[in-house]
Amino acid sequence: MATTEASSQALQQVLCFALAGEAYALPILKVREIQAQATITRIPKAPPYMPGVINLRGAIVPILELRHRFSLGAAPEDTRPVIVIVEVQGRTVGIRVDSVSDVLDLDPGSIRPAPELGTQTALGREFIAGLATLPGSAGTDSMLILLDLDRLLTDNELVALESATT
Amino acid sequence: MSDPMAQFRTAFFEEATELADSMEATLLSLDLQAVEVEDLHTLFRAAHSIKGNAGTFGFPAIASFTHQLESTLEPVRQGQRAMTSDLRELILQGVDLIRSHLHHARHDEPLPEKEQQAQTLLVVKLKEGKDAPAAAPAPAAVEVKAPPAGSSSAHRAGTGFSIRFEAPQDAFRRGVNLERLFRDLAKLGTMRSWPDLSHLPVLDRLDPEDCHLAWDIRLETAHPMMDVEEVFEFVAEGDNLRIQSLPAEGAVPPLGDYLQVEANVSPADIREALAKQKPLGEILVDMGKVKPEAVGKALEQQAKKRTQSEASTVRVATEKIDRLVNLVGELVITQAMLAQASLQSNSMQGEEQMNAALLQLDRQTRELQERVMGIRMVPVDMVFSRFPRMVHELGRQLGKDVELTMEGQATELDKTFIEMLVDPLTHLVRNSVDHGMEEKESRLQSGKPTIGTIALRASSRGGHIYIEIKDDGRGLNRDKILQKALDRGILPPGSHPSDEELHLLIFEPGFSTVEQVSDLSGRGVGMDVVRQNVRALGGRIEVESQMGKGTTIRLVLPLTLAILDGLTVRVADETYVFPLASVLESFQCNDADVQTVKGDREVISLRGEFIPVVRLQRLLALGSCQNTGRALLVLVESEGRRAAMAVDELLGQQQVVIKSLETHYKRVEGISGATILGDGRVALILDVSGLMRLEAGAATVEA
Amino acid sequence: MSPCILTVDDSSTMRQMITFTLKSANFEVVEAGDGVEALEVAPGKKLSLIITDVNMPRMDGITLVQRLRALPEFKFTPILVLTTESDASMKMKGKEAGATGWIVKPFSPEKLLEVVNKVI
Repeated sequence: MATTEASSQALQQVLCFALAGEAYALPILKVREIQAQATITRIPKAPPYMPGVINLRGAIVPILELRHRFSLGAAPEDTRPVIVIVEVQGRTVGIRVDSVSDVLDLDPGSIRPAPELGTQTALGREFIAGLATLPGSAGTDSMLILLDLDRLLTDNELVALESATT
Repeated sequence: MSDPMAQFRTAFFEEATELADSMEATLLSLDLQAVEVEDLHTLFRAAHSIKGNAGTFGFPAIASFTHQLESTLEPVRQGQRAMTSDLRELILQGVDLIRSHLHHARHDEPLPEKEQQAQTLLVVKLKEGKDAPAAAPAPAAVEVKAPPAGSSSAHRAGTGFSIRFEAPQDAFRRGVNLERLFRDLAKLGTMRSWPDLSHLPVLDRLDPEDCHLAWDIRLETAHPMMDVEEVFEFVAEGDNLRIQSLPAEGAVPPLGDYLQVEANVSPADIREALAKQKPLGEILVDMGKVKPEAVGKALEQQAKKRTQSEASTVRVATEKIDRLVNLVGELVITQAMLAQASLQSNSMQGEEQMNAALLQLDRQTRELQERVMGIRMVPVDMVFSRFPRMVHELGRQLGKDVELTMEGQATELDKTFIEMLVDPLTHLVRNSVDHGMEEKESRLQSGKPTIGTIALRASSRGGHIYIEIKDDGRGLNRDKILQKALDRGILPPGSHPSDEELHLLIFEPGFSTVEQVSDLSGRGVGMDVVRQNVRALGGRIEVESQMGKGTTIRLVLPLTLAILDGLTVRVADETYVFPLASVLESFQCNDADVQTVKGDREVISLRGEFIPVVRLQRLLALGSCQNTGRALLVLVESEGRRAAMAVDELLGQQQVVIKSLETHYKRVEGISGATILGDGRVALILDVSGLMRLEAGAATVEA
Repeated sequence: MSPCILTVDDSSTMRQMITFTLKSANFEVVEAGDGVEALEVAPGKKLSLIITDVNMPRMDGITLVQRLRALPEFKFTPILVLTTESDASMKMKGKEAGATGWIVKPFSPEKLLEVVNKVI
């Protein structure tokens, strides 16, 4: 499995965040900052997973609605969404998540490849770089889903969105 | 093609013809009252190139004749012989002879006897005036601009370059001929060089195949830096070559410069001596006036500033800078006023002072913005100036008498606009001469003056720049365009477009009403590219034409790319910006005033005209509209069409800085860009014509 | 005797164009179709300059430059490589291999002579 090899070197520090009750993580090296204040400006007729843009100190940054991307339904009205600004292949994109929890040091050895389809998660394994087990506080282990950011952002639909300029 | 040389010859003929054309154009454009030295160089280079290529391709007769023109032009460009109207005539004749040479050589014929004689006579005449000095008081003679009075040499002392060149270590092993290099350099002007042997290693470590030489060179020349760099092309490796302009005319050169020239002190020695001077920072540290860290920091800042200012430069008129400096001064005062007022913000007086200062600040910020943007503005003449010769030349080639008039050359345009307008305007003017103008005979028959007129006009009105190309030619043929549009499927059968819509079709890709594409307009950009460029600049095209009377094509452009006067509105819970230039008015109306036609299209009658109503909230998919019984409508106009856009609230007028949505997101139909509002939110700028297209599209799909 | 130049190119049209241009400027010209042929032809000709294309069958121009520089006879002979505009790295490669300079394709006869005159 090539996925684990690649990630075992790259992923050491990860930013953990929650989305519909599950724990996800992104490599910290790709994260530029976290925005909790920004107001999203909706773009007419935009696809729901990329609904608009925000102002990041004068730059216009598109927002990726991760819940929509993973078909997790809309966020409850009362959660104040947080935007994780990431930079991938020269593009700056804001990823909207439910909340950001922690920065963790992951032992590359504890990262397992994503299992075949039909696991607990709703998203296909195409965007999963691996799974990590976290020792829980009450003795129960919990699972952390490591996202493959490059895949997520070079996904066909997004590429199509980018090249849709005429 | 059996002879492989034939294709090289064809290339030669083409290039030489172009060069001859450019010579003619340059000659025609010369203002004899104030000859531009650069034009003289252009003439010389063209003659030089024709000569060189003719020699290469085995046309000695052309080469030797062009050589005569070249040697006539050499003293002229050096400022030693005046460009008089007589001389211009002679060289124009020369250009004609070159053309004739080329024509006959192409057909493998010798130059006819008659033209041989003309050539001999011309060569004699060219030599006749040779000794006339530049400043000769001949009535028609006008002095060439470049050398100021009192300067006898062709290269004004003080213009040129100081060069530091360290030869690459492998120069010899790469077969570099340094001697040749210096010879080439010396050809550019007056050169003085000081070898620097300080890098030579001690003898026993010296590899004779390594090169350790360096030079300091002072080159007085009128050539641009590019020519100097070209000499060093094969030996420049990053930092081993430093070329600096000698202090410009008017500037006072440093003492070392004088010492170089007057006392032949080498630049290396001057550097050494200067190194012995202690830097200001060091002296201050020694005096205990300042800490070393502070000096380091200051130097860093200075260095940063330096690299910034070297990166890119713009020429700005001094008066523009003076005004900016004054403005900054005013701003400082305002700032002080505000600070003062904030201390007494509780008192009535403080508040008044605060309000006054804020008003001032508002005005000053606006002016500062305008003036800073003004730095980017250049006169439209930068594009226009090329057209007189182009029209003259085209007219000659096509046997049409065309007069070009120009107006408003001083109108200023954003620098990027100028660059993007060159091709479209060239195409439009070319098109006017080529297709718009009738032949002389048909002009006579239709009772028009034989001389056709093309008017180029630039003006700025109400936040827009208008550029007009107006000809008194044959005008657009309505029926022909309609037929073609139907044939090509550009219009659906049974269409009855308005004149305006029909005329704009000539800008559709692949649309040409001329059966035979002539070689003149056939090359370069097409009409669709004209429209594309104009649109890219946020502008639009208008066409007015009358059969037999002429055509006017008008480019309407925003003042600048970066800033837009906008009307901010609220639709649902989003804020949008209308370009103020496309807004005619806004008004409240009752829903009862809105009529529904063709099932779902809404229109409103305004002063007897039915205007489509566009529900922005629905069009932009912002959720369903709440029916309040009343509507707030913004009447907009674009590309000759009007629409009333329903919005929820008018928020105000403001200038917004345009940011591209495309580079960060993607192009969105109906949206031309984005901007950032005072509260930090992003607002989208509406593209009025895009919205109308969108609405029309939605209607046809539904219908 | 006029200076002799070796032109190495696998395209015969290009070779002819160069030869024609150089001959009309009074140079002697020797031709070779690729690097291997060039190494056979070059020795003993007292060459003043070698102009070589880069992409050629059997032996490319860069290798040719390296091989020539290794021979005492061509240690200091000016060598120009023909590169295409899009290929800026080729200039550097040529330089590292020991080439004196380059000519950017496409070029006019005038440009060719200009560059030749720069190195001879």
